[in-house]
Amino acid sequence: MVDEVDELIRMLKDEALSSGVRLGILIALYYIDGYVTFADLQRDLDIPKSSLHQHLSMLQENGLVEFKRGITPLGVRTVVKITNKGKGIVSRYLELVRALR
Amino acid sequence: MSSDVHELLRVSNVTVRRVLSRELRKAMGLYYLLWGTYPIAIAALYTISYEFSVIESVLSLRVFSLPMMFIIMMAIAMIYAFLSRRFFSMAYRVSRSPIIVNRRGRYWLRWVITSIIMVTTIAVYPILVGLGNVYNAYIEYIPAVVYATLVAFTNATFFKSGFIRARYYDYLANASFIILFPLSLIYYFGYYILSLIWIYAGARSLLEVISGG
Repeated sequence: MVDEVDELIRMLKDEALSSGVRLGILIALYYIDGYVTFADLQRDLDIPKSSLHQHLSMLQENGLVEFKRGITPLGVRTVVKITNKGKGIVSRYLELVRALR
Repeated sequence: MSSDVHELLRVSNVTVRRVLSRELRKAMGLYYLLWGTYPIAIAALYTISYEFSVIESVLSLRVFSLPMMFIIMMAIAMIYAFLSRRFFSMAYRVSRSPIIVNRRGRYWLRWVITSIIMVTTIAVYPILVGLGNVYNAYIEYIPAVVYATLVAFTNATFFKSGFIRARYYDYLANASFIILFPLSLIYYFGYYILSLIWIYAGARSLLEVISGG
């Protein structure tokens, strides 16, 4: 139990996951397991474009998400997708949360 | 754990809820729209087979024979099921998530409502026969009711997480499916009414996403 708490706190101290918004975006992308457009994310979270861009750039720098222009049914849009590394981290995070419940 | 970590987890849960509530509703809307077009696709197939029957007889081809029609219908159903797979896998993963705290636990009510609709639909059958309908394929009618009920329960996966609320059009789509799907074996126009209701539910769901409701 103590080990799990320590590991969870260590994980959340990581620069990429030290923000609730970034952690939330990463978990949501894990469940969606596909592309989400930047515009949809911004509308969902109701935060300025610059803030969202900053959060996603941070996640991308750490290799947790892919963040690029892509073709969608509505035309060319900026899309975001979780990477395998990101999936691994969220999967471990959820295991820890499950163990602590 | 420190209050900072608690705050971080709280914000992350709010973020997850905001994103997933819209994505789940969007998935549900696309699912309704997709299956709403199924009866239309099958009707188109029948029309094509009718139109080409003359050409077939001239060329001595049997492309639209009954077994072949059945295979084509099953192939279309498989394509639709494949396209629905992504929606359901997302809903299933979310419903089993450990981050959900406030699960909506009124499943017994759904069971009661669905059971009442199912029993009523079955009870309607002898009345239809009594009214002079010659249809007597009880063997097809009962499995159709059971299948439709199972579909309605599977659709409930979208609501298990409590991230989206069931609206009147969700109830309308699922109740109409349990009632109209088996009845459509007797009265074909039922498929088209079902199609309209599901397209309506799909459109309302997507409008909910757009309006942020």
